[in-house]
Amino acid sequence: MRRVRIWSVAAVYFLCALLLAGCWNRIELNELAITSATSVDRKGEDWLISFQVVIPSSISSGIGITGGGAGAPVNVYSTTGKTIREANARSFFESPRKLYFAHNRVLIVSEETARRGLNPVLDVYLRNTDARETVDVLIAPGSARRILEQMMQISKISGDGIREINHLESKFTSVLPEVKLYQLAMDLASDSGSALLPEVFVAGKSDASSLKVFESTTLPAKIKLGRVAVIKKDKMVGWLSRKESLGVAFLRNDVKNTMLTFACPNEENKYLTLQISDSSTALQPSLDEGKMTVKARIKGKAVLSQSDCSSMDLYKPEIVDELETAAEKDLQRFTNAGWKAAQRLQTDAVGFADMAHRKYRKQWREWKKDWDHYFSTIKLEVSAEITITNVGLSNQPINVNKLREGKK
Amino acid sequence: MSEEKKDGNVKDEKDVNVKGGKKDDNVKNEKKDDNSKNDKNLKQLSTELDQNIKMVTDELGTQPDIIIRHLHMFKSSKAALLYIAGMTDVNAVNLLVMSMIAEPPLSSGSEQEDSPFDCVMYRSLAVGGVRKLDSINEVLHAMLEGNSIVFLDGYKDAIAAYTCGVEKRSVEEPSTQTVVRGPKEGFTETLHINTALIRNKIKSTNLSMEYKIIGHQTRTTIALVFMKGIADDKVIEEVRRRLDLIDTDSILESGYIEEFIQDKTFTPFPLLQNSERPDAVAAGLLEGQFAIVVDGTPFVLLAPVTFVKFFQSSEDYYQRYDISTFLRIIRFFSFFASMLLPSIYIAITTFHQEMLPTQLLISIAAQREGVPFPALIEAMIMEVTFEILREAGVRMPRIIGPAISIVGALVLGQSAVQAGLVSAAMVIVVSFTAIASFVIPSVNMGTAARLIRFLLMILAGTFGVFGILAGLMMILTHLSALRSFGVPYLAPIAPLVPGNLKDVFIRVPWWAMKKRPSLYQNQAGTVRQSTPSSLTETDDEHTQKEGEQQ
Repeated sequence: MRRVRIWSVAAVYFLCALLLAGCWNRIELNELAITSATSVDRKGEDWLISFQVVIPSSISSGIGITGGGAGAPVNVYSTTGKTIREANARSFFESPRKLYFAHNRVLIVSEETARRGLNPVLDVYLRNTDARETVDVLIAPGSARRILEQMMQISKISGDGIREINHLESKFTSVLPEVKLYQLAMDLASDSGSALLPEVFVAGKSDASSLKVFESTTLPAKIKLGRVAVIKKDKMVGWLSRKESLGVAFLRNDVKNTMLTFACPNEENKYLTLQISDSSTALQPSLDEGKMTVKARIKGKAVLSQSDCSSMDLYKPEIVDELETAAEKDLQRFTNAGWKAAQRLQTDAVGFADMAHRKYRKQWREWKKDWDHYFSTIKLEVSAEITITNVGLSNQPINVNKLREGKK
Repeated sequence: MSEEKKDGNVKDEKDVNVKGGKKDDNVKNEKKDDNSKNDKNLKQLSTELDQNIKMVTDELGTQPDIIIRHLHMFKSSKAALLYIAGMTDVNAVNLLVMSMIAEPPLSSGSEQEDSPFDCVMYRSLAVGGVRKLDSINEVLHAMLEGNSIVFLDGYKDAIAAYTCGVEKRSVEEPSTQTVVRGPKEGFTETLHINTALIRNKIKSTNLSMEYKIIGHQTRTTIALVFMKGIADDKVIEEVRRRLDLIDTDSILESGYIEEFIQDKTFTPFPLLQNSERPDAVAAGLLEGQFAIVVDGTPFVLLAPVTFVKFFQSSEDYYQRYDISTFLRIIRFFSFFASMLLPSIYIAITTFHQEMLPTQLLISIAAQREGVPFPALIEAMIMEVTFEILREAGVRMPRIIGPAISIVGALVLGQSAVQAGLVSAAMVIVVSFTAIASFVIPSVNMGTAARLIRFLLMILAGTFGVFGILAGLMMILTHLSALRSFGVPYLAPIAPLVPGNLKDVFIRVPWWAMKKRPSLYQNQAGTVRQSTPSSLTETDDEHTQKEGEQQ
């Protein structure tokens, strides 16, 4: 009898634990609106937040999936509010499902928003747990919502596609950085107080916002990456061209792989392309009567991937040396252009402040009061050291006519 | 909380058992028990032949399968042969009859003339074994075991001639625990064949077999088999005690014994191993386990046992060690998959969607789009369906098997998905779980995983991954409290016995296993490959041989 009582008490406790918990914060997958991209625009003093919500059934098709394949893969809608979160909350008035941000791939901020200040955006992401700080941040000139509306080649979910473009671009060419939200916050909070954000824009006049665009092989409008936006103390101050931004990337030691294309040493209008890998930049500051000089030493390995030059015996070390020197010169051109742009914008986009703080702790106390001014007085000396490790499978540039003559 | 309660309860249970045992002790001797119940069984046999036959027929009734053969021996002395048809070997009985009706053999020429009774018992009967019986009770038991009984008119004793020979299955390949490489013989339903199969594997004088008869009504013979000098004497002593405590009227399968002697009842985990394979039993014996062979079943019990033992297949020791190691890892993985996969699926899709890669999330979300039930209910439906199918597969006649497979695969799998009742991902999860549960070599460990799966699914549906972790902690606590004949269930992992880890997750090559696992054995018996000093010389040879043989 006693045993029965103990068991029933145990069973009651167990059931209470299970039933009173009320399934905690359970939410089924078909009650979620999986957001793949979010954009932030300003509408007067209000925030206009747009969401690109994935419609799972039109993305995956298979047995048992209702409504598979038909209809747009994503749905874009906007809400407004005095704060970003208020706008988010207003989606409950129009969306049948709860917005779910954990899988948000990109955050697209309009240029206007960026120029007016990014602090509120950072606050929302760093304060809440549901939105991940690992989201990629990009800047769009004009309306950011328009980016979300566009269909994209290959990738059905454009939010995911933009992230992939950004990721691959920064991995293989390093011109535009891939900046995650926490990196943006860290950059802005660092001594230099500046950050870079890639630009995403819609190329083409019309919109690719309808499924009909897939009926032709060419999209009327395309999402592309463009320039680099320079953010200073949470506000955007200007753009860097791709050339400038590659230079800045070299100075920030952000380059892993990239391409250099420059003219053949002794010919005009003939070019060759080098693929740079394993690039690294060492900064060496020195102080002379309060003026700082920074020596940047760029090292890298290169592979010759194309040569249009008319004749060059690549088996001769002198020729290879010559190519290396040309590449180094080209690199210096890039970095100097980047450096000039940074000084033009009076923004420490290259992140020298951290280096200065580490190296000259005493002087830093003075400098940090007016770092922007001091930054413009720094002199930069760039030296590059490119080693061509491989010229490819052929020595001479391929010239079919010559090959034919050689046979005779 | 519930765990504590469980423990408390189990203690209670034990108390009850002990009390029952004491009661049992008082009437320990079964014969005494029988006798006190039926006074007439005390009756001595009479000198009258007809009287004796009448006593037998009174007890057993005049049943058609009781054959009474009257015959005359030595000119005119009356005799009778009684046996139960079907329980005896026809040839042996025929030979027996023939020897009885033949001319009496010439006198031995010894000084003392044999009495006719002794003459029959020692010289006439052409049969392997004879035994003198003096009470009707003994006569009845001997008959029921398949012996033929010879009554001689004028003598108060009867002779039991060993003619046992029930129709039996021959040694076949075991239907469970099949292997790709290894012996293909399996135990049968006959005790003597089974013990012979074990003896055939271990030709050692140290192999010890103790017989016991358990069950007031069934009088089932069981054999306790162990290796002297290897098995732990204390464990053997404990088994004998537990076997003596069994007070039941029937033992029809080794499962009866298992439930009576296991350390703890309220656990889903098996505390005794069973095997249909003589080689597996022999290997167990040589590691210090004992075996209980029960007449009437091919399943032999092996104990003490640890958790990891259930993941070892006898094939592990016949294949190369690297293959065996790989297979072991697969088995452990399958065990956890079979226990956890549905609950992890439920937890992640209803609580922690952020844990999934985006593409996978979208794909699963798409499948779930039209599904009307929450993931927990969906999983429960599928799991229960599978369990029903599985049970049906075991029970149904072989002929309609394919029909059920079609219904199971098409109707419940594909059509359920097409109808939007369950998602395709759930079908995959359930199928994988089902397949994984069959990877574990021991069926009862697989069943334990199946039972726990349902508990974990409910926990996952209410508390997500936290629930699963809480459930796993409960199971771990429970496992570490379990013991099988005094051996910690999780040994050699907890408590850690480094020397025994050579045969747990990995199996090292045979030449590296110089010692037997020391968990359940006599310290003297641990050495497997070199000459142990504490054993006698003959023992040395044997142990060494066994090491190689295995």
